[in-house]
Amino acid sequence: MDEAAIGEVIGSSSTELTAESRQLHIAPPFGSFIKVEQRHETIYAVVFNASTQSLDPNRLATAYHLPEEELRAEHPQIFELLKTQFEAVTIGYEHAGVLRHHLPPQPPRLHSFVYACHLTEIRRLTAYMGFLRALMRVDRVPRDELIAATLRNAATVYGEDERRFLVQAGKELVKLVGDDYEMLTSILQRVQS
Amino acid sequence: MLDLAQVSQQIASMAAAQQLVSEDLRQRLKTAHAQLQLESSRLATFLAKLDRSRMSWLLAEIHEPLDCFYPLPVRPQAVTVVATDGSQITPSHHEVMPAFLLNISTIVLHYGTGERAVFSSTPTLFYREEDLYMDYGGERVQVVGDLLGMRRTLMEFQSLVQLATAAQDTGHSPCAMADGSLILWQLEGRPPDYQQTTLQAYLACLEQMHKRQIPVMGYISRSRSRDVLNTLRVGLCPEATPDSDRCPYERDSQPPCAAIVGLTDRTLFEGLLRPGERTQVFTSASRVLRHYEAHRIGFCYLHVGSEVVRLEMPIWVATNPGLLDLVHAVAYDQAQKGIGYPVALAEAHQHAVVRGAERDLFYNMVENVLRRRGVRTSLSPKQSRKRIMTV
Repeated sequence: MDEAAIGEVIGSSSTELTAESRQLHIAPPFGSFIKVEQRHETIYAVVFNASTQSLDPNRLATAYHLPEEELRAEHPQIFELLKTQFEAVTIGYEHAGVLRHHLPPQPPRLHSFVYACHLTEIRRLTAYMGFLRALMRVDRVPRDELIAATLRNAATVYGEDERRFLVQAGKELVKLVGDDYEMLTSILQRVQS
Repeated sequence: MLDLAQVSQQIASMAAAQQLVSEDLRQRLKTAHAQLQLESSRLATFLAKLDRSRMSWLLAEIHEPLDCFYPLPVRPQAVTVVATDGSQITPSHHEVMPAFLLNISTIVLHYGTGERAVFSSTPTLFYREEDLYMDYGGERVQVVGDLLGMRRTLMEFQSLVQLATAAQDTGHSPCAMADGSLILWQLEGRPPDYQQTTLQAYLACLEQMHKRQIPVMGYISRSRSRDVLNTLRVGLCPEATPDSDRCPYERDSQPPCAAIVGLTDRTLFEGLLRPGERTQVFTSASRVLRHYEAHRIGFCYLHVGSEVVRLEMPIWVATNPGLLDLVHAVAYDQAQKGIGYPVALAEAHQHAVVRGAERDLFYNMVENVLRRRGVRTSLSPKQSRKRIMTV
């Protein structure tokens, strides 16, 4: 794995991917933009879940009641037997220089490397509000949290245009969840805080 | 199919019988402890009697009073524990090919430094003529059963030495742990050519450890050894020169030494040692050790909290206070960390073991590859039948 990669794909489907983090305990932030670089295309996704578990399903994590440095000094084997992984929902892909805001024809290949997206890539991905619809597809985590986190992350790359971006996003949200007043306010509150 | 209803009645009977045995054992233990105290108070006399006696039993060589116990030393902050284990997928004439697989795991645990632990497991496939057969008593025999087990033991031990020396080379203070005995008693009675080649390889490992002054121990849980207990039986014998071949009490229903039969060294010391304490280091009189020379094996019993274990070590570890203390401290610490059984040995085992499904996968893989290359393979009818049961 090269230095810049943050993970490796260990599971994928047409709509989602699962990757193992390069470093234990360090997964890309919730709601952040990541990409999988493959030979002919790059697939873009938003992180919606991260977890750390035992490598062996038959072995469970148990409390040691020790601070981390002491755990590393006295139980070094634990850290080799845990892994951190993250899941992301696909929002688009780029092929032959053209960015498409819909699902790629093929899922990401296993063992491809995962990277964090650059600021310019995030701008291009969020120029079209379609990614919000992709986030609505996720049902395993609270949607309001995911959408709000993604918007907070995206807004940071807009600098002076941040307000304009959020207003646009808000308008799109009204279209998407307008009939669910509570969801809408929840998202807006979380974005503003 | 197991008829559990039938078995449950038998289990109840067994439990009832065991209860009687426990009562009896308590009484025997009292007798054994009393004898131990007695012999400890008259060590010179005891040693002289042991020296005179002619027993067919294994008798521990005692150096100090039996009630001499040593407290737990402080474990050095920085120490590296290394362990190996192995497992095998053995050839069966029901399977496709006589090849066998030995899977050796290595574990390196650095303590006190925060360095990462290192695990590995290395499978080796043996399929060449010279690997599958060996010289044994002047004949060429197939490497199966005990012979295969011994080959695996050697590979594990050689791997252990490599691990330990590599750790030392990178500036660490290693302590090597082996699961089981360091005494190759299985070699006794085997053909000389086999004994010699095996011992040569094994002792070369011990020699390397000796040269590097790296302590190595054999950790035996639930030991059934009775070397020390047997000395107490000699003590109980009314004869001035006990001789097991000329025992005048043989025909008696209860010869004097039978009063403590049924106990083991472990049960003997369980009631005497406190957690963390160890006994003196006895020297083993096992016959095969006459070939070990400078690496004769000593042993002690250590209370690790959950049980009393037998620790074996070469005599050059036993007679070096620094190395002996390290072995003592590490063995106890490992058992604590592993909630009753050493972490290093448990991890080594986990990484070596090949589960049933993996075994089947291995043979499927062998079969597929051979078939693709046009090599004729055939599964025995018995094996095919076992795989596909129909109604």
